[in-house]
Amino acid sequence: MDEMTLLEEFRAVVAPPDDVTLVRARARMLDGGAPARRGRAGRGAPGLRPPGRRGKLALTGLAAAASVAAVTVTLAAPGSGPSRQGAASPAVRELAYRAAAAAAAQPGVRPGQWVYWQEKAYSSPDSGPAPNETFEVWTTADATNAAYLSKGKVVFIPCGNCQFIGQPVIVHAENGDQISGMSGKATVSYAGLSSLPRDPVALDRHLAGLPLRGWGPAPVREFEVIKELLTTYVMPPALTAELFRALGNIPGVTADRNAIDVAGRHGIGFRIALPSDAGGGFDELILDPKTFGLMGEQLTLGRAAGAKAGQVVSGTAILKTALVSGPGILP
Amino acid sequence: MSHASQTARESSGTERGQPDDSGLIAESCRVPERFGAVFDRHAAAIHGYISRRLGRDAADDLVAETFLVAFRQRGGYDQDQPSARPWLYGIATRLISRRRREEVRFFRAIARTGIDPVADPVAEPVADESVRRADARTLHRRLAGALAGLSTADRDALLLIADGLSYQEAARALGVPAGTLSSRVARARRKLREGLGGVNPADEIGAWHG
Repeated sequence: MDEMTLLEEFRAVVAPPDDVTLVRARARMLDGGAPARRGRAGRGAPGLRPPGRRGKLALTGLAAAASVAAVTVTLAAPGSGPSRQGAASPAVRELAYRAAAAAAAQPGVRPGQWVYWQEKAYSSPDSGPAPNETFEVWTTADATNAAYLSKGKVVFIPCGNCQFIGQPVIVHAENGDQISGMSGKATVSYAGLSSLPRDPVALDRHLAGLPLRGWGPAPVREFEVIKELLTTYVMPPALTAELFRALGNIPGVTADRNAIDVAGRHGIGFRIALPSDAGGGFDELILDPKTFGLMGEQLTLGRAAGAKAGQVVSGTAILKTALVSGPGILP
Repeated sequence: MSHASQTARESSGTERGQPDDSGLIAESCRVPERFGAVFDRHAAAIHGYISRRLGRDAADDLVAETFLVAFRQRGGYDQDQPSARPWLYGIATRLISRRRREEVRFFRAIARTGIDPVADPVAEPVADESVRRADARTLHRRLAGALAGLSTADRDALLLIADGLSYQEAARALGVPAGTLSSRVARARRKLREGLGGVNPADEIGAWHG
């Protein structure tokens, strides 16, 4: 072994950087820079033009927003639109990047890891009979298995070859346990998560192009896919972070600092307006204002759907969640 | 797969039909967020390079600084260079050069104590793997001492090559002719051999343990 091989070994033992460090550095880079005009390259340092020939950098909303982000975050008033037509505001992006940093710091889990959920599901009376209760359910990170406790015994919820979208809702009634919720095929399978583009622009474009049960322009479809993934799977932290960054890049997404979930808790709501021909209103993901952990989701329909404008039609509040060693195990 | 070849493969922008670095940088002049893809490709390697030379805390700071500088200067990027590696390594190396005393202290501390603060923790070795692990630590101590004794220019050249850059890439990163880069690497290697005892120390230890 010669000295170069020894040196390469010396280099190879270096531990890789943690995700949080990279997420913060990335956010700092994008928040601290400004759009640049392209110029001709010349001699000198690799990739740079020689001194004295630097082009002028034009300030745009991004550079101006960087100074806002460095001091404080000004959130859009509830119901207001984005600061620029066709683009999520810098304040929304900043919040999304904070959520990404928090997500990146979470531990990685394997697909079969069991997860405990304590949730409250809500449906408005106009939506028909539905439970409005707190319940407990256990699912695997890849959403292929689910179970609950009935009189102290673990009961597995059959799903065959499908998976659950979100978590099944459990109601313990006198005449038996009732299970509701969605199952079927998620827009992106757990196995398919690894093939999602890692570049935020490419990820945005990919998600916006996915078929969705429903309707809506590309930004709405993308928001719905991200919401589905975040509320269904417990994903690798880096991917969760990437999805939050993508969320912050969706045109039309707004943030409400005074969002209230169906359990009455205050959080930060990322919202997107729904098409008027589908009832209008907005769909919303709510995050904890301190930890940026996912608190829940809810749908608020507009007047066109027959509900009172601004009334929450349905939603789920995640009261507690934890990684556990198996179904029926409490954290 | 060695670190160098893995780094080279990961930096290839043309895998999976993705644009190369120059394409991404050009797009980022209109859509700044596109530069994030350049970050995603190279940040881990740059962090490791800085970490090896200055420690993890400094690497956490300087990797952000490297890409911030790169992001701000992307308008002047030479579009004839498909890979941004030399450019990024050049920025990182210049930032490291401002802390040359800190770098020398870092290597001397490893040489003195045998403790490498940036090494990945290893599982408890078993059987004769523990012997090989101890041998590597001994060699790394002597190597760190030898690196501390190099001039900054020679150390820059050598460590860029050790990080997997080609001679051409390393020359571009440092902004020097290829011949100058070769001379610096040759001189650094000679000094390393002298600092490691004048003979191949791995041969010595290998003979001892049969």
